[in-house]
Amino acid sequence: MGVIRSIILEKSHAELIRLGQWVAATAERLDLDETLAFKVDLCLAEAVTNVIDYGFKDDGEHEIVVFLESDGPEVSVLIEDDGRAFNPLKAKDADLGRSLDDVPIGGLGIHLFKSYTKDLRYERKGGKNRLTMVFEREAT
Amino acid sequence: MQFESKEIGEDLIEVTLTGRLDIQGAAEIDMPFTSVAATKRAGVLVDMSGVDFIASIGIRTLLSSAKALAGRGGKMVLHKPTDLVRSVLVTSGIDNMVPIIDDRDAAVAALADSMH
Repeated sequence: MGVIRSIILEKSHAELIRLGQWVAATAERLDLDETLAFKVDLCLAEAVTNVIDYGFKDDGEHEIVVFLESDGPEVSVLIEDDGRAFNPLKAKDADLGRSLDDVPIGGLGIHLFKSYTKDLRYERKGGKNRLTMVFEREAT
Repeated sequence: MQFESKEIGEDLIEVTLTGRLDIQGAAEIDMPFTSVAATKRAGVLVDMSGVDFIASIGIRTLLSSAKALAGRGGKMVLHKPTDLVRSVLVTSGIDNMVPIIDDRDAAVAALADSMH
């Protein structure tokens, strides 16, 4: 078992700023190198943005809980939310347009966190989405 | 995020971005960028060297300005992103639509060419 840290977020865009600050502080405490910290920052921002934007049908209060675990060469991030079931691994990959007139608005975030993670796992458990993103520390 | 723009030649504008191009940064540059992109036909060189983070929302902001410029017969070039930011731009495929040119003279020349 490695070191685990967590943060609880509300479904508001303002929370993404707090999330970015938390990632920076956590990366420093866990001694993540600049590249790894950047990847975690990016993938978390994309995944949590999607949850905030598309995860909830009602106006009620919801929590998004993010856990970050550092264990040996691996850093894992778990995002847990009680929004509607959504498996990003099954989402159609972004159709990245080739001309300026043909650029898709959505889907880019999923494409990015699929590209920047070593492993990506999803499960629906207890009425919650649980998305795990695994990153690897660079060999030193 | 900081946004600065200045004329660097006839119908050529240099925009310098500094900071995080995340959801907050994108909101901060949206208005000034739109006003540069939508006011006249211009070649816009975007100095990215001071941008230390970019997310998809920031890429969308760059693209929508590039589209607005192209609609007026103008053009955008991205200049000198850091390696990490460059990898996000390339992974997104934005470099197929908005060229990334590190050499400043070449970037200015590409813009000047497209304006004639």
